[in-house]
Amino acid sequence: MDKKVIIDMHNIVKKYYEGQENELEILHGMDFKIYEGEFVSIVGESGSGKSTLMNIIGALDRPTSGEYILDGEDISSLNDKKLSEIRNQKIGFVFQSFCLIPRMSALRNVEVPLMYAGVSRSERKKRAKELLEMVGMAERMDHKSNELSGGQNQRVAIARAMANNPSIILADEPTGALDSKTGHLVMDIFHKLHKEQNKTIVLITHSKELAKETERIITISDGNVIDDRYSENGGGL
Amino acid sequence: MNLSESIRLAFSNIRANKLRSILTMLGIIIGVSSVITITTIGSSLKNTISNTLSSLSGSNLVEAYVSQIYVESEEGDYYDDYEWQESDYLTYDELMVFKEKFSDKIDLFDVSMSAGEASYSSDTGEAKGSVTGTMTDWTEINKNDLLYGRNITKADLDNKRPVCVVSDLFVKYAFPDEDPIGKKLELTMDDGTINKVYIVGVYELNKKMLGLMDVKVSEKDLPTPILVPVTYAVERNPEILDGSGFTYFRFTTKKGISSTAVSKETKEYFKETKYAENEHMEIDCYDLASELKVITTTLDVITVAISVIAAISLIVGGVGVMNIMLVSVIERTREIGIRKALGAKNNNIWLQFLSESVVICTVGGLIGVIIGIINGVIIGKVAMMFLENTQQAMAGLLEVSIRPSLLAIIISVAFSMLTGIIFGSYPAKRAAKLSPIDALRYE
Repeated sequence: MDKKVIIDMHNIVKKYYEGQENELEILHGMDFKIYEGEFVSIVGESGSGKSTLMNIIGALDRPTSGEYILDGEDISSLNDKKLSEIRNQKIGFVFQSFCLIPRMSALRNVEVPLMYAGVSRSERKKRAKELLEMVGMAERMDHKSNELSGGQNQRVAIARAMANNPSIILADEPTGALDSKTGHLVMDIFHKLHKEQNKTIVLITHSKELAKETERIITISDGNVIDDRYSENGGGL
Repeated sequence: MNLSESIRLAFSNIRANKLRSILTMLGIIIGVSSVITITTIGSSLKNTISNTLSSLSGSNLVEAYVSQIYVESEEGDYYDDYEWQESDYLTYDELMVFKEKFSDKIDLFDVSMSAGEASYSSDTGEAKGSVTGTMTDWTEINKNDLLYGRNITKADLDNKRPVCVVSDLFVKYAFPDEDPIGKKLELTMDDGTINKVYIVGVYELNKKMLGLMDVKVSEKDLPTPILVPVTYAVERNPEILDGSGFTYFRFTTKKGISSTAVSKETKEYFKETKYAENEHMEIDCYDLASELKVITTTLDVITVAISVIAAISLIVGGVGVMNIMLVSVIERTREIGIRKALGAKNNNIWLQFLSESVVICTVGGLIGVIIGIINGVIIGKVAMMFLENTQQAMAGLLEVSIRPSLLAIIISVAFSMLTGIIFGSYPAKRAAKLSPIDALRYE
């Protein structure tokens, strides 16, 4: 185990309405580690705590208790401002519904994380172009979200996720809104990023089929990790 | 992400929602344009009045009157029953002493006494005039240029010479084809007496003076002033003096010397000399500068008062901006969520929305300023056209100057920005406080 740990979840508990009558515990003390360069899928039925876990991994939310060390930094109790920086620098989100800002061109969308990182205008334009080339969207960089197909939108979203060269790419049902063909194209990009750039990719999905494409599958149910194994496709440790 | 970035973003969002942005700005535009219209009219009116009065007789003019002292009492001020004595009137010599004493402060000095209307009729032509006893500076103090010949001189006054200076209009009808200088003028006065004077100079009648005269008569019948040495006029007909001496004189102060101050000094001077022992009389001075100040201050107060009322509509506009910004925050909840997920800090979101509201208000304010200036100019021009059609004489008199008030423009734009800050800060705060998870989930 000489691989670097990127995500270290230790006894993560998430409760809602804490201390109130209707207190709800969603995550019951999760423990797992994800290593650098892994392509992991977190699989669970709806209501399994998948989204809650994603929010915590993505630093959108804080655990009620437990320790979450991301790329060597304990982020379980950081303030909002610090969490924003973490999201900006260390996490690249890919959402099911693409989440591009509608009125803006593909290029401008990719520039957004760079803008919040304080990159100069000329520099970020250059970087955004490179990223769009990488996902094969260079010709359409001036198109707005509504002028692009679902697959194209998702490719732009992946380019955006890569903008600040994050520690992990966190993809939440990235093919959920796409037909199977374009879904495969999107997955191909993830595979490419994984193989060529050794990116750590966390894929959150309900689909066992999709999960099989990744090298490791963490299955959660009812707020607990019930299975964690390397798939046939995966290279393992 | 800094301020300029936020402002750039604000402009692109405003452009993306053109119609809504303009509608949002409308309240601000109306508010600011009303304020600018009113202040433009106010300041134009002020400039026009002061330019007009200055063009008639220079703003450093002081007019002095011998007058009875007001008796102050609890029932109100009144003039007591007092019959003016001969010694109450100013003599020519006293005026000369005063003029000499103030020679370092006084530039032009004049008395102007009407000696009645006169008509001239001969083979060459006919003309009317108003014989006026003056001193040396009449043409200059009234801003009439001397066309040829000379003015009345001190020697004329000292020797009570029967000379006169007439207007170009008088010459036009009395001596259409001749050189009037040196002509002997036989004037038939109102009372039938005949006055014989020699023309020594011709002045060009200040067209603005026409405005002050009764212009219902034709140009030919216009009794333009025929200037004669006041000493000569008095000798010929002492009746022209109101009582037994002078009751009026006027002067302008030298450049850089306050006419208001000299007014006071004049009053003091006569109080300490001529009227030292006289409890009934004093010299009252009216200087154009302080009269103007009263008028312009009054106009300023009225302008400010109306502007403040108009500015209330800015608050209404501000509420409109706040309303739209709140709607915009809700509409863009998802965008806020996305931005936060991508690393926007609360401050970034806050600044983005605040910039948008400030930019909307400032742009609205600037548009309002432009519309206000256009309004002010149009209203000014329409007012002038109306005046020219109805009161031609007055129109000729006016020195119109339509000028927007720079101060009002600066204050209006600053006030619009402030409106943007005040009414934008709450929606911006709401946007900044949205939780990224809720915002992302928002459909």
